Parts: sequence; C-alpha cells; structure tokens
Amino acid sequence: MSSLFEACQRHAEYFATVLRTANTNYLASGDGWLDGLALFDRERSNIEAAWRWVCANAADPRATSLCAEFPNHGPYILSMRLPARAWQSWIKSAIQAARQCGARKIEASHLGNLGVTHRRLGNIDAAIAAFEAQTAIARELGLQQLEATAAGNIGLCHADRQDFRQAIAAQEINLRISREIQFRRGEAIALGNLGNAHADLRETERASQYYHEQLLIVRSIGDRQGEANALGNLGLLAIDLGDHVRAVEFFEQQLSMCREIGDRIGEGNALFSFGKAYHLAGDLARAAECTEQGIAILDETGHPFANEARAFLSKLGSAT
Amino acid sequence: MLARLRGGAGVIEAKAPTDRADIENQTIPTVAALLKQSTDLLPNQTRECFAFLGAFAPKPATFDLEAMAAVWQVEDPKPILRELAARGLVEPAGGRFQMHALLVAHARSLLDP
Repeated sequence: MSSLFEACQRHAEYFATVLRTANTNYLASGDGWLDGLALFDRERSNIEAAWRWVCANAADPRATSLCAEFPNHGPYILSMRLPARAWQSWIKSAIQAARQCGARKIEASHLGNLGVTHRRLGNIDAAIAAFEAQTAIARELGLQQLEATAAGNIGLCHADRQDFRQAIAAQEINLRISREIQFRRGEAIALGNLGNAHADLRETERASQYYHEQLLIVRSIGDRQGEANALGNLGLLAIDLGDHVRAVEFFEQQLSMCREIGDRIGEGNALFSFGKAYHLAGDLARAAECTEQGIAILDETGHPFANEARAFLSKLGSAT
Repeated sequence: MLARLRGGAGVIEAKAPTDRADIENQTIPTVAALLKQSTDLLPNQTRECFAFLGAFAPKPATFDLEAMAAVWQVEDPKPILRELAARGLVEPAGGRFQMHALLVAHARSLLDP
C-alpha cells in the first residue's frame, strides 16, 4: 500500500493549483473575478485542509518548497477571504519554509504580505520592518515590481502615522518604478495613494487629479477592486469639498462594486464613508446607522479602521 | 458482506484488529471492523484509490472528479468512483462528492504513514 504522505502530497499539490486558478480568474478582466471567488469558496475547505497538512509537514524536505510557495498561489484571494490573523499565520509559516529552502524571491514576496497583515492589524512598526526587509531582497535580486510595491506600502505606513510628506515621497518612488516597468495596476495604486496623501494635506485639486488618473487606469485594465477604491477616494474628496450629494453618489457605486466582488473590507469602508456623508448632510441618525453597519463588517475582517469608525460613531452619539 | 451481516452478530461485535489502533481510538471498534470488512472486499486498485481519499477533508467538505483524478493519478476516475459510490464509501453531494469522517479515518488507516 502507498503512503499517507504521498496521498496528502498529491492532494496538497492539486489544491495549490486550484488556489492559483482561483487567483488567476479573480485577477482576469470581465467576469473572471466572480469565477475566481466562487472557485475559492467552493474549494475553501479542501484548500485549507491541504494547507494544514503542508504546514504540519514543512520540516520534511518533500513538503518544504510546497509550504514556501503555497500562499503565493493565491495572494489576492487569500488577502480578501481570510481574516488578517489567519492570513498572517499562513505567511509566517511560508516565510520559515522559504528560508529553509533558500527561496529568496518567494521570501521577499511573503515579506510584503506579512507587512500588509501587520498594517491591517495596526502594527505599523512591524509592517515597516517587513516592507524594508522586502525592499532589501528586491534590490538584491533586481525585482523592481516588488520594490515598487514595497515603497508604496511603506508610504501607506507613513500615512497611517499622519506623516504625509514622507508618504508622498515613498509613493512617488512607487509611481516612478511602476511607470518604468509598465506595471499598470501598481501605477494606479500609487496614484490613488498620492491622491490620499494630498487630500490629507488639504491639497484637494492635486488629489482630484491623481484620483481621476487612477480611475482611468483601473477601468482600462478591468481592475474592479481598484475601481471601487478610486470611487471611494473621490467620495471622500467630495466630503472634504463639502459636497455630500456627490459623495453619496460615489459611495453608492463603491458599495455596490464591493458587494459584487465580495470585498468585505471595501464594503465596511464604504458604509463608514456613507456615515461621514450623512453626517455632513446633517442626517445623524442615518450616519450612525451606516457607521454601525461598517463597524460590524470591519470588526469581522479585523481591520483597524473599525476603531476609527467607532471613534466617529461616539462623536456622532455626543452630537445628538 | 450482506450475507455475513445477516448471518450473525459476529461481525457487528468484532473488535477492530490490534494493528488498527488509531481507528480503534477514534471510532467504535465494531464500526471499524465493519468498514474493514467492506474495503477488504474491494479489488486492489479500488482499495488503494479509496485509501487515497484519506487525504481529503471529511464532510461537510465536498470534492469533485478532477480532484479525485489528481490524487489517484488516473485519467478517468469514473469507473472507480462508481464502484466506491455503489458500496456507500463515497456519497454524491450536488454534483460533487463527500465522505463521512469515519470513512476518511478508515481510508487513512489503510495507508502506510
């Protein structure tokens, strides 16, 4: 009789390819994203079972590289579907395995995702450390796309700390490299982040220019999540400009798109944004209702914006 | 198998073989013995394929034909699947398939560690 190890290895290898297919479909233009999510949801228990086996056997040389690579088969879909702590635990195991088998490129890629999960959990120092470690490996190996993404993520960490000038400097590096290597998705993300930093500095005209450039790119490449983000950004800018009617229009489009693609974090953010728009309109009851709905979703995803939304809600409570 | 079951309580009350210690700990011994009786009657290739299903998560998880083909490394898994389904070792579930946790544990026990 064959071995249980062999059976589980074949099972894990197969479901790694299923995860990759789900991720590829998710990133495809047209309706591919829906197929990707449906495939992941249908096979989730098998993918998770495969991952549990891979982790438990990572010390065995026959499973080490599989463990190192597994989360890289579905970074976008795992980021969207797994709670931050669960995703972080996948990444930590994979980093350990990547180091064990000397897979530097894979290690660099995981370090970026580790930083993203730290940031999502509000651990900014740990996030910056992970992105800087990623940058070092990316430069050493000449991986420009990773270097651009790391710069963008470092910029986001600076923005989290309200250091918007440093955030802009980092996003400009991201934008420059992304344009040099024609990485359109990265270019759109950099533009959105530049818009955010300028909006935070009350430089609304520049922010608006960046957001519109972002929207053009995400629509041209069929990036639905990017489009939802850009719409959300334009809505928040409309709030800064005191135009709650326009803001609500943008948030309605954002919310509907996030629900379509199953982006729970985006959905929570959009509802929180509705709260801000209704607050501006003077409808405090509706503002509180939307913010509460947003908090429930953001809590479910473990997103730190939940705390910001909670502070906003308590401000609303004291205003009524 | 049916005849043996009808024939007496011997099978029902049989202890699991001593070399099936894991199964004995995880399931009622008589159930393990019944499962073993059932899979002992399978042709070798079918029994090996059943054993490979021990890699899958038990129900409510479901899996499809492609997954079985990949784990069994066969081009057409249907004939083997038909045989396993006919013996109640794999259950159809809305165009996919599933296995009870006891059957998954038994399948695992048939494989070397």
